[in-house]
Amino acid sequence: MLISCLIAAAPLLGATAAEDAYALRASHVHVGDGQVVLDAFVVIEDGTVKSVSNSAPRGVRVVEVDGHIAPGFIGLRETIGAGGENEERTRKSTPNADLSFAFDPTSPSWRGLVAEGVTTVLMPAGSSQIAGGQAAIVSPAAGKVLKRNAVVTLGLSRSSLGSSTAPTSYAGLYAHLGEQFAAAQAGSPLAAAKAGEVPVMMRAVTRSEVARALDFAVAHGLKGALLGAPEADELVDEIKASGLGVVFESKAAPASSKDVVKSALALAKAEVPFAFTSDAASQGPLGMRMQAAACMRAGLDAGAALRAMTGDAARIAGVGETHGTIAPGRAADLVVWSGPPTDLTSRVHSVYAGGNLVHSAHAHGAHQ
Amino acid sequence: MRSHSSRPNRRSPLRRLRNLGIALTAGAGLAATSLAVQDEAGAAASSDLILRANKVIVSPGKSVDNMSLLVRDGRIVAMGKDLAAPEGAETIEGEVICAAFIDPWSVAGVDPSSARSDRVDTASRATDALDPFGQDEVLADLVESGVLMMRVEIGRAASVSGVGAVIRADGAEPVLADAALSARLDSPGLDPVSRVGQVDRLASALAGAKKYADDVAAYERDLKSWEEEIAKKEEELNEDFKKAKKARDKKVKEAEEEGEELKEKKYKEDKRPRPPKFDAKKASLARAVGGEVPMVIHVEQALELRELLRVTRPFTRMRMVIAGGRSALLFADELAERGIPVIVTPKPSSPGGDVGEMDPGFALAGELSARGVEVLIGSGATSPVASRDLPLLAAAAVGHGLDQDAALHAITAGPARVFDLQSKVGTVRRGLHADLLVLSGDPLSSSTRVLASISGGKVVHQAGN
Amino acid sequence: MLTSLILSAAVAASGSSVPADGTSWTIHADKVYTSTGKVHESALIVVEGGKIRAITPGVEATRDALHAPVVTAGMVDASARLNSGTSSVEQSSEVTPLVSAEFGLDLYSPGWGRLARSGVTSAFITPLNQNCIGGMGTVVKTAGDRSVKARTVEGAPMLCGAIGSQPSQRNSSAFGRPTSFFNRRPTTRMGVEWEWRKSFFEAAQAKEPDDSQKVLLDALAGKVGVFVQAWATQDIRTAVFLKEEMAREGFGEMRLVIDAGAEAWREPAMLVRTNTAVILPPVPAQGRTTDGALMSVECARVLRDNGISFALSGHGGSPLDIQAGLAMRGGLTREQALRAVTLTPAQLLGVDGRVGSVEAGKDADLILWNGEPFEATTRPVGVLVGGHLALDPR
Repeated sequence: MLISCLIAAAPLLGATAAEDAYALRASHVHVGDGQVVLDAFVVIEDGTVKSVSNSAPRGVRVVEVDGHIAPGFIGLRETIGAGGENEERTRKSTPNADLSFAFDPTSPSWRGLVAEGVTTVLMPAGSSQIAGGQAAIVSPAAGKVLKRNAVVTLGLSRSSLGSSTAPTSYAGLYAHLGEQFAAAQAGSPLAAAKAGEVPVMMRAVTRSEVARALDFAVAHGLKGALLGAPEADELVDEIKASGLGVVFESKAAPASSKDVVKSALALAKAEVPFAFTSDAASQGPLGMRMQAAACMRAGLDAGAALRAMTGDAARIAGVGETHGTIAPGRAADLVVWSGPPTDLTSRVHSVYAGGNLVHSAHAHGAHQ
Repeated sequence: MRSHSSRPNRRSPLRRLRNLGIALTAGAGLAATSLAVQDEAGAAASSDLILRANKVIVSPGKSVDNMSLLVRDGRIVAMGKDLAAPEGAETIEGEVICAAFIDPWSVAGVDPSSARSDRVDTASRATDALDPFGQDEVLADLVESGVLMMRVEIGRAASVSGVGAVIRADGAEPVLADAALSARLDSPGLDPVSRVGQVDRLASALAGAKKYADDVAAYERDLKSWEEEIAKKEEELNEDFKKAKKARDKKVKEAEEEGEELKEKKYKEDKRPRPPKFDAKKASLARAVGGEVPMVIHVEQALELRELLRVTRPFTRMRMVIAGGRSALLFADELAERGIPVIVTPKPSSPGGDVGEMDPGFALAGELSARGVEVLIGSGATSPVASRDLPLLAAAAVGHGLDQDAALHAITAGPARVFDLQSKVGTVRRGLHADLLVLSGDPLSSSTRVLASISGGKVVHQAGN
Repeated sequence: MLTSLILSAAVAASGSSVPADGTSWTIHADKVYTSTGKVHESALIVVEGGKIRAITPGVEATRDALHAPVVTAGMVDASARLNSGTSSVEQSSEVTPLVSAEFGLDLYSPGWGRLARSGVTSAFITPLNQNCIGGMGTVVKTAGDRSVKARTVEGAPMLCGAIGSQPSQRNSSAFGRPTSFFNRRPTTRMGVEWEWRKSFFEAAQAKEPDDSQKVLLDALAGKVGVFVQAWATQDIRTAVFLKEEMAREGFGEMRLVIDAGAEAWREPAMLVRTNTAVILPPVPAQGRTTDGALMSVECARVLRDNGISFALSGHGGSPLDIQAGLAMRGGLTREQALRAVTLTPAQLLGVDGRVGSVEAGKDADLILWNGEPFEATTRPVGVLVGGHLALDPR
């Protein structure tokens, strides 16, 4: 990797060159919404992206980067670093729980995640909870919680049913959830979800579970996404009509993602937003990239595949305005790759989070 | 023609053979020229296929631009820049043509319970457990993703698993019925003494097989020499027959005259040598010991691998292949020196998983390759559908340091060579079987699509169909 | 003759029977058994928009008509048991009147296709019988658009439950340290009956009945039917005596239907005097059903002879037409067997306004048979559900 510093910051007349402003220049900048800007300068100031353009910025030091710049991945379902703290086992329903308390910034597993390009993480409740609480958005590299109460997580799949704890049936589950929503007081997370202020992530796996979840979402005016739905291709019209997106879960090995491939292609064709998860507990960001690559080899275009791990993922998590794409005003969470980010033969050169260099492949030696 | 004689003339077969050889080469030459003539404007067989691409990867690292291939009767019969298509031939065009991917460690196409079984021994054969119908969807996926051949084995839970085969993804047809033996030295959770004991058991099984093979060879030698002895004696007896008969008649007459019984001269015959009791398992394992078929041993941990390398040193003819090999880096020099290839089967795992920093993961392939070890990439024989992502595994390995050509070698020419198929598949050369892929780009690039898969000269998949 | 002329003209005017949306057909049958007692010979059935528009006897087949030797109404399986298993019953309590079986439906299960192709066009689904009172059942069409709303048929509300050994099976003694909610009553048959009686009494005596109790009150009043699984004689007795006791207490007159009443043949008198209907389960292969009830092919005939309203059911495993054939073997006439799998269950479930017979105005749920129905050599060769072809006879 070449790092050559050209032009030391020289204050121009009348212009204030901020101390921590700089620009990255690369042959390819993948914006994260499908566009790729060639030979571009990304100007970063105060931890946010100020501009992306082809013209060299004035008065700012430029760092030449050898490779492709892409937005950092949004990890949509990280449970590492939570130490099992995201699943309240005595009760199925804790809608007011604030999952940012489960975030352990000192966990050593975060380092590996960042090294593979994940800069922002959504920490949801475990899948056995009906209303597990509100997920938090955290920055593992900075060790900070970026946004509390970001997404309301709901579990509407069989794993939320107990065998010896209530409820044991879908009827009981929906009755319970319906009561909770009906009784939700103004200002509470469920009320906010009903008002569409906070997105939801509803876990539903089988087709009938997905159908029921969609009906519930439409009936209560919920916005957000389904989690799971590997057979989404059979319910594309219903999903599109509901306005929800889909977040595909990882399986233990990307090899079992066949249904996801078909579903991803169907959703892409119907222009329904979808995302892949890195779910480090089972497979990690590389598995997510392999899932995306499997979809690409079946016909998904690279822009859509990258969107599913960056821009659309951020939007589903409710932080699409501040993360997930390289655009003015967004957080400067970038990864420098040796080639196209969706290509498995590319490797991470360096990772920037909030404008700071948080990982560099060289520093860690050949092990990466 | 020669005149008939009751006894075969010992010299004529040799001469006949020589004459036949001359005739053959002449005929072949004739056929070759006639084939060349036919390339231009001959009558096409119904199975003719023309493949054209901007780049043909002949073998990893060696490619030619703007080439066409003519496929007939399952083989690549011609390669050239300007090949005219014979009448009725189908034409397929693409950006890149390369050899089809071969998964050297797979269970696709094999009945799942046989694959998982522990009741398997060295004489069991994977070809007896093929399941083309029950797995037809999985096999169709493989064909679409470009993995056209797999080395399969059965009996994953057994310690020595039997004779594996190389089969085609299309219809689970065997390409090589006896491809390799396999064994497993991978039982986590045991104490070190038991783990070493596992290796010792394997070593004694190998030694037992070697002894059996030696015994069988010795028996055959003894049998041959005994037969020669008998034949010689018979000839001797035949030659002296008349004389001996006269002498015996004389003796009989003398005995009659003297009123005594004649004591017959007994000829002592050496007893026919007894063959060693047939042992199918040992016979099978002996083929690995003798180097006739390679032996794939699944071993991940350092203790087992070190012991294995040590106990197998005396078996100089054995062709070993290590599968898994997560700790192989520690022994890279010995592996490189002994020419032992390693089938790597990387899995995307959680960062900081149970092995943690010690697990090289995807970087293993690159690091072994850099130390001179031949690296193959396999899907790991855990689930049939895992083979589909073989090219993705190879691409991810490149992303973790493996050289691009070595990665392609790891899933094409490498498996072909290690399992004795290099004269049939694995590279794109005239005369080899037509197991090829027509791609929209570089074979390992994630955005490449498989436009057509050709298996044994047959188009088994075409995108957009 | 005139009607047939007008009809042919109408048919000709409306075009051939190759439909635009797949719900309009013309079907010609040598015989139509309507299930009402009427039999039409050489009849033409016109289906439009998923409903039976007209039936005209005594006409020739039109060129494009689907043809079959016999056409009957689609069968109604009054106890099809095609639910999602344990996730269809809320076991955190033994009495859950508010649970609806519609949440326990998996419309993507291949069982629906099997039912439809075997001639069952409507199926009554209840929560799994693990609770004393499991919840409200629902009538579901076996084919069509895969949404609960599209497939549900509104009928008489039915409160479903079970009396016998099944509801107590998972429970264990409540003494000692309870580790799950299964440490509760009932653990015996009498406990199950106690739960039923207790729920009814509490509902009837409640000053301000909650939603669950309101349903129980409606059941007591007869506004909501009570659909109770009771295999053995003692359990059927329990159900009947419970009904009589509730009437004696002045709580109301229940409308009782015994599901899986395998031993109903033993004491028909009590069923007659309480006007109780019976759904018969599939005839067991070895003579005894679950809960040790003894049943033979003659049971249906015995119920018929006593004038008890009955229907046959398949429990999701046995084809319903085979059960009808067995009942004929036991003594029913073909007409009676047909009624027992079409009009009678429709009436008991309150959906006879839409299904259960071949009459103009009803849903186009029809079976095309290749011979006299319920014979061993006959099978459905064509099935329409709501006008859609679930089994194509062509």
